[in-house]
Amino acid sequence: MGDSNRLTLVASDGGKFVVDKEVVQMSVLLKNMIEDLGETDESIPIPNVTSPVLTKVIEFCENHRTDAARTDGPNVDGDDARMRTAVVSDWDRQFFDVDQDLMFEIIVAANYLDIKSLVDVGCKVVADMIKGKSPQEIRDLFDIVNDFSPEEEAALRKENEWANDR
Amino acid sequence: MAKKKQASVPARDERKATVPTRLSRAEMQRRYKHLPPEIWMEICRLVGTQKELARLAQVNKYLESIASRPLYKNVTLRSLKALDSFSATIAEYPDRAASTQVLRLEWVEDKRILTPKSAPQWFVEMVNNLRDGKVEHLAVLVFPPAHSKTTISNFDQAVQKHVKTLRLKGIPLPKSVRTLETQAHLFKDTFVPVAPGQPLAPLVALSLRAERRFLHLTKKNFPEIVPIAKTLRRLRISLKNARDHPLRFCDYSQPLSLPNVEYLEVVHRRPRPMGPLDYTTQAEVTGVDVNEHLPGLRVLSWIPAWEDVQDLKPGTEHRAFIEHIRKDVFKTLKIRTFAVVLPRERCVRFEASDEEPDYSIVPKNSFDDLDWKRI
Repeated sequence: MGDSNRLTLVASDGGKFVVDKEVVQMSVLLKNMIEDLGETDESIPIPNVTSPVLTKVIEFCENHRTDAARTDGPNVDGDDARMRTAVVSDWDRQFFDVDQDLMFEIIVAANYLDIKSLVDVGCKVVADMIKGKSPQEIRDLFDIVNDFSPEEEAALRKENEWANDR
Repeated sequence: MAKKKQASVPARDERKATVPTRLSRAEMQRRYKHLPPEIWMEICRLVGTQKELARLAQVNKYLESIASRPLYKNVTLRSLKALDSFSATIAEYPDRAASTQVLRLEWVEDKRILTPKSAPQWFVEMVNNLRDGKVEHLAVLVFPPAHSKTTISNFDQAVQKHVKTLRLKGIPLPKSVRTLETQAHLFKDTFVPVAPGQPLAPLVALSLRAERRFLHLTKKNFPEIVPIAKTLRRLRISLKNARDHPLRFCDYSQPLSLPNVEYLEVVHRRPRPMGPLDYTTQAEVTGVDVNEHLPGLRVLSWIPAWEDVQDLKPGTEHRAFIEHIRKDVFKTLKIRTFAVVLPRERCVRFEASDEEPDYSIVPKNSFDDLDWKRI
């Protein structure tokens, strides 16, 4: 490669991505891996992530690379970081405006690669999708099969009735 | 005594028995787009309200197993109906009671709704069923209807009457409780140790809401505190119609000695907001030698009953008053921090060593989770 500031990631389907180390280091998994490897020209395989998903993950990291620098600063504590992610920005919302399968795959990849900010945003987007919906609407939204019997469903409704008051 | 269940509702064990096949973990994950449980748990945390969590728990068995944990961990009951329902649930399913860590009973009574005679029984049963559990934070704050002539809610009265009628010593406070928020009268007359002769649960934080201008924080009035005086670290005193200097929260000359309390929050409540000029500014008249009775105090937080304060620039009425109080506080007390908490979560914070105040956002749950260094 020659450029010590960049490295190559290889997706599970063989797709290669040359990216800045600074961007890659938003992933705790990859950051640790790079530290363990030291200076090397070897590419890093990402066996659990396909090219379309890795493309999106890199897009997110490139867009948020400056956030990472800010959170490393001495005056920013965890609460501030959490407050920033409490509201999903327009860019992040647009980023997750993809089909549902891809959205979930991005979250899973972020979890695997240990990219906290991407996991946070993904979870927030899913949580926002769930809010205000009935159990049936949530099933419809995520194509989830209701595996409760009618009796079980009634019993559970009764059991958790206290939570539905107001 | 557990309430009778409707005949059509099977008990939990029966329900388990009727489940034809339990899905494997791998199959469950495949069905929910491969999201691992820790991700769903984070989504549950973000979904937030218990109403939403209850809905999520009803989607299917997998999400029920995930959403039920946070749902029962942090419980807020906002009506008698909810109290009845929750009490019945944990009576029937003890594992639910075992997972509850925070329990809040918090509502304003509706004058159109009568308190049923069985309401105190629901409460007593619920507390009994939590006896061996993990409830760390208990709040019992039931208020009478707005504009009511009485200061004590019908619910509190019914509980107190129930204790007297059955000649109970009181309602045993679970030993696991470390933070208790309640009305002063309920704390004084109702909560007792789980076993006679034993001290009350070793509380770390106590919040007492009084219906007077002062709290008579004496051994005679609150003998229950004496054996746990050394464990208490945080104290909140909420006073009604107070228009006195924040250091005047007790008008008795011999208050309890609380050697390890490091955080004191004085809350002033009034039916209508007031301005700084409505306050008595004399601190000297206080009967409490705070340095003697609260020698470990490090932070004093005061929440005045002010209307929305827009401007705190030097020269303004509110700022001048805050400066006045600040001088008194640091002259009287050997504390590190004095904070005035204003509407809209704003805070003016003074350190003993600093001249200029720090304006900040109030740390959420400062009473529950004291960490003033980070604000």
